[in-house]
Amino acid sequence: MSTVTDVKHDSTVDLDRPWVVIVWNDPINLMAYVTWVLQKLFGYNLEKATALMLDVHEKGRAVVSNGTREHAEVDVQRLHEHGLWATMQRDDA
Amino acid sequence: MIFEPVDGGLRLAIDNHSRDVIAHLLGELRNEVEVAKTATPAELEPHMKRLFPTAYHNDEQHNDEYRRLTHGDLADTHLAALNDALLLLAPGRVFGEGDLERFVRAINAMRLVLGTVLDVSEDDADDDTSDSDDPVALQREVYHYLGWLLHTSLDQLRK
Repeated sequence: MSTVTDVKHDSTVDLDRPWVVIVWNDPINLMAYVTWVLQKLFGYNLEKATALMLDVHEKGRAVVSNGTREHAEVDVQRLHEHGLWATMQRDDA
Repeated sequence: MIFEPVDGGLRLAIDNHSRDVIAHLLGELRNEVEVAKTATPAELEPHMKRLFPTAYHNDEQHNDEYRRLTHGDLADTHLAALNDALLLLAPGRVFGEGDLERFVRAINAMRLVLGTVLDVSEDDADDDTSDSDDPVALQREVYHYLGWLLHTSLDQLRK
């Protein structure tokens, strides 16, 4: 005899889908400043930080980090502390 | 060169008028951040929203929760950087380890707010020409000065 357990599915929890942190383009932040912040916060080398900055500037946005929801929230907060326009969302890739 | 190497760090070498203007603006922004710290999203002045962006893309419910948890800390972080920058602007003050980073963050925050007030767009982001008929010519001049100061400070950080 098997026991049926009612498992409530929480649609807000999906461990298989990471979150991404996106930096959006804005006309005020200097390109050199955005590059510096990405290097400082994420430890990216100058080449990677510059490439991400150029994506932000030319494509309007760039994914700068990903991970768990908690990790993404921390990254977004640090970016906001530095004045970058950043948001987070589920990775739709 | 606006950063002179001295014993124990660097000294900011700008004229007193520029120093006074920046200090005045930093003080005003500090007062506005104090007000913003306890403001609801609806009460937040439009030009201050740039310092307090939403975190979740198109998700009002999560944004409310995120804001409840982080808004005060974000305001405190902005206030700390602005207070540090005000102290660092004192004539003769020596920038030690980490001071220049905090100074850069405060100058950038001020430039963000001023740029938002001036409704700066991509088209005029690099335009530093002045028009004597422009009613906000002085603010634009300050905005471009802050950009130059920020660039120079970032160059110094990279050394």
